[in-house]
Amino acid sequence: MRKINVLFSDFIKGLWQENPIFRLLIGMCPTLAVTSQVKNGLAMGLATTFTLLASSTIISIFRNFIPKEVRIPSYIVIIATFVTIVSLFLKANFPEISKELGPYVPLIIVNCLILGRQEAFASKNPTHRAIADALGMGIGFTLSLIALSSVREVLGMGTLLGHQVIFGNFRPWIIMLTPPGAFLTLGLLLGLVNIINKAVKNRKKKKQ
Amino acid sequence: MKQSFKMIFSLCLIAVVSAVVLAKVYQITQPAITANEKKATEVAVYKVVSAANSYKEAKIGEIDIFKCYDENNKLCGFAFTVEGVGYQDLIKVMVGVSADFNKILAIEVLENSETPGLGNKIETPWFENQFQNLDLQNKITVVKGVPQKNSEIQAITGATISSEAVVDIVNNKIEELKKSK
Repeated sequence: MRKINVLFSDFIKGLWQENPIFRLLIGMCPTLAVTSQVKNGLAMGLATTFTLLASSTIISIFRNFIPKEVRIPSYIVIIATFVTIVSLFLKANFPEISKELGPYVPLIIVNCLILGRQEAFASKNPTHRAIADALGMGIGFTLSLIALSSVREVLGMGTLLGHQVIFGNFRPWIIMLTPPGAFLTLGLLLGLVNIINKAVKNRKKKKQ
Repeated sequence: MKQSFKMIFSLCLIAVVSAVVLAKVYQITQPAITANEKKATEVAVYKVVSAANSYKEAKIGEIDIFKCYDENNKLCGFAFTVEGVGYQDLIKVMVGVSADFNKILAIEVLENSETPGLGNKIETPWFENQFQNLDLQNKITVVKGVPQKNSEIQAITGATISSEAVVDIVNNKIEELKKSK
């Protein structure tokens, strides 16, 4: 029973308490670059989740074999291998999505979320816990990208997943699609998350 | 000494395993990737010369071109790819022109990495359809606002550079083809 509880908390912390984007503030590069449309944010999130899951599993299995002096280059080679596999797989089976994501897929290699989780978790913990951690972090990352890209797509284009959602005399805010729009949205969402966390904390204090 | 040997050994081992795995994956996926690319070209040629029933690869001067034939095996137009620098990276476009080289039949943007939501609207039907039946006697020009002449294209709001880039690379290639014809 205890074992399952540990696994569950490894998984769940990535969703909110240690959410990679809104709490840990890592993996900012793809976060800002690809979130102008929900479709791209979602595909990026899933590709990252797969890479994270695969690398965490392999690195956790071989954690005692890799000498700690050369761990970073070893991790990068392993991560790069999986990213290349994802990229080839997309090109062969989903040429449309591959075309849409363009250069962002190879850039998953340098997403510090992946390297960060190997360093902080997978290299120190048994495989089943590393898998739970990777899944939680990956899903937390994907959900955060969806939240960010929803705001930007709705305000910047008046659409959500390509469907018109704002009608009438609405002029899209082009700035939301550009890099400054990404920073604005991220900052506001970060503020919102902090306000919610503070409110929850205060309520807990009052109860005590 | 022993420590550094261990470091070198494990790094080499990881690199070798990774290389073998990647070579295998590449070998497996390569046929599908080549087929996808070929199919994409085929689809694009038939899209920009809609009357075409078959096509043959040929050359005009130094330029690769697809000669398109209709059902009666009559030449009905040419298709060719053009590429040039856009706002961020290469833009690749398939262009279809009539057999007498007097007008553009249609264009199709094949590849671009323009700004999402702004410049990448060059691949929307709204932008591509503007090129249909454009007169080739004059150079194509970009205008802001509603086009007045049959050689004008309306720029995408907030993406004038991308719009102009497409027009420029199409213009240049047509100029080149006209000369070497």
